Amino acid sequence: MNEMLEITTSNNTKIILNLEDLFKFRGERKNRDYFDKRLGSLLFILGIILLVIPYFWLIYNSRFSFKELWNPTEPGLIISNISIFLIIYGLYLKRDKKVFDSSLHLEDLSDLRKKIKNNAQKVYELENAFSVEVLQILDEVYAKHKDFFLVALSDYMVSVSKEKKLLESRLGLDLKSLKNALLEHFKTKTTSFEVMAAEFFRDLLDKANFIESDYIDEKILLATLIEKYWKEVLREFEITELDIKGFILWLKNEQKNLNYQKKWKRLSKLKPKGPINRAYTSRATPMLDEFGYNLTARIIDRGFSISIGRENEINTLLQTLEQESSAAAIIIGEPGVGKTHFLEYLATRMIIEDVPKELRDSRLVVVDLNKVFAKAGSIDHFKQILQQILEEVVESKSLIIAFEDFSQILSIRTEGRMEIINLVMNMITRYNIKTITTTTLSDYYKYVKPIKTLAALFTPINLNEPSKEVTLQILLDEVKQLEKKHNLTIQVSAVKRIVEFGNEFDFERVMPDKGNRLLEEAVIRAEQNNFKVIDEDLIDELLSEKIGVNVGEIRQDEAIKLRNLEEEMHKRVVGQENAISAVASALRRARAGIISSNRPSCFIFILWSHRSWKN
Amino acid sequence: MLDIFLKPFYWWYAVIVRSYFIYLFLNYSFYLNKTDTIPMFKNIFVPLFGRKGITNRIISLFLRFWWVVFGFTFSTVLIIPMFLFGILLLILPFLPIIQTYRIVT
Repeated sequence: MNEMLEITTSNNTKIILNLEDLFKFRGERKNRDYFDKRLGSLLFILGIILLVIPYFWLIYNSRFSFKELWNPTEPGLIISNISIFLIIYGLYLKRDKKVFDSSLHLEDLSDLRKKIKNNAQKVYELENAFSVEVLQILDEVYAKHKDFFLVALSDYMVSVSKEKKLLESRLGLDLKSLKNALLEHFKTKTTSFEVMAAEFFRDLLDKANFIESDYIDEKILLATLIEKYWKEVLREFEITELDIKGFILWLKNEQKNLNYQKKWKRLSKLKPKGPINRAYTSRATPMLDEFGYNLTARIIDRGFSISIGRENEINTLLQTLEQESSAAAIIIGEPGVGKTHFLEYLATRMIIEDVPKELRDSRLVVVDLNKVFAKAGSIDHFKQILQQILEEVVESKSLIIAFEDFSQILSIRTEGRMEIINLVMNMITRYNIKTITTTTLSDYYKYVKPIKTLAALFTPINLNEPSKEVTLQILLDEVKQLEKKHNLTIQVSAVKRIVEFGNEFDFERVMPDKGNRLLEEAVIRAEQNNFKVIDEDLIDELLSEKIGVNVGEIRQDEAIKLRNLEEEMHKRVVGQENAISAVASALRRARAGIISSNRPSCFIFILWSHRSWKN
Repeated sequence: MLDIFLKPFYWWYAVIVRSYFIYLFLNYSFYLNKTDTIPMFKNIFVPLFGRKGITNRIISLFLRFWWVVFGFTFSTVLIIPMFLFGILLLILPFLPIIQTYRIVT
């Protein structure tokens, strides 16, 4: 085996990995780390005892004085000085190895990513890309099962790894059956380390870069195995590529949250906790304080929120807000699609300073239009309040203003409507107020599009319903909270069923909102019936009630009815053999679930003469 | 073998002392930030509340100047014990060596 492994990643960067260094402990890395920690603790305690005992001895013999502390002739003091070495060495052995290694070489994967972006140099030596746990796993598996590397690694990840619970909670897999299926699958394949090393490490690096992790940790290892090597096996468990994609997107989101938390820990010491204008440079903003709320401050109090799979949308929004003229955007999306959550995501990024320079020291203030309407006695008063708010925004600067449900202003049915719209437009264009508004698609076409100047002023950003795989991950996040709150277990297959039938019920709402509501209904139903587990059957029952057609497995009485559908229909219709058989087949196909979910179950176009029993 | 003796020293300064001084710097920034010294210093010539008359400019400069002086003094006094502990961490590995040298000489 070559000692140095050269890997070319997907962004054409050559990375050199020292395999000898990686596997130098020959399967003993875990034991060695454990031994080091124990020995470190022992030496540390011993050092402390040796440091303290001589002083107690001096105090006990009434010979202690502060002058003696610096007297090196006392044998006890010599011992206590030596003990300093023991303390330092003990702490060194007990150290967090990840921190030490990264400080020694001052480089981890995120530093490497930055280097690759900024530098033309193409070859990097990779020494500290692995977390301690992954190093231990790789070391053990390589030493014991070099020729069946992938099989042993898969087995380890399913049976021993800390992250194996993700397979159950996020993909709904049964670990025992998965393990057996994996062993069966890899029986006939070549999985020796020599053959697959370069590809395997390249995949690991690519995945870590995609997820934006500082280290290749157990989660990255699991994600790589799932996406690259277990795909075919997972298909047997009805886990599609889309499900895997959703899972990896969720992992990326979790990592982003962790990175943000880490950054916030550092930034929070430098960020103001109270009102932003602490240098008393700008005028007071009483109207804005009364009718709006500071979303950035709220996010600091409540915690970060990150939208999954909305990177393109947030980038468009940031580009719009960066513009020097008409920095105004309109977010278009159906109720429940996550418009407010999207605003919270923007606020989170502003706090973390993951935004262009101009927006870093800004605050995001959301104007509560309902409050303005309630307070304003007349339309003139409303206009006056709005003008004052906008003037305050102009004066205070470093502020982004947001109007949720903007169509509330546009749909005012009085003569003053156009005046108000003109006021808003003028203020935004003249002073380039950074504005974000939200509305629904129908309202956008009804109120914004007809006024051409208004439509031209705002950059539209469409928030579509998230894809099925992303919806599943959002709902699984919700499941965690519901399970904790109601002390129930919600199976992943049940959540999958909700996503599967997402297009078939509650047409006024969109996912993930309607999925959430159905989950809450399921929890209430389970509590009423004293169920401890919410499974597919309970969801099927609820879905059947909502859709009006049975969903899920076909019961025996229903099967008989379906089989004899023609006879049942003939009880009411005489003749029409072709039509009845066509309708019955279509209904049977729909019930068996072998039709496209985007098309209607059956479409009948009956064309016949007047009074020919069409009904 | 040399590694075993040298690495702990290297680790002590590269990790422990470095992270302590980063922590100390962040704490100092926190105190300066909490007392509004930094924003006041940044805006030392900016009049208060956006009123740009000459009288207000003079009053603002006077107020901001003393604010910065007091804020800076207060933060520095608070950070001194931490700084002394930092110095102790810096010399700690050399303490036994100094003592040994004193015994020998």
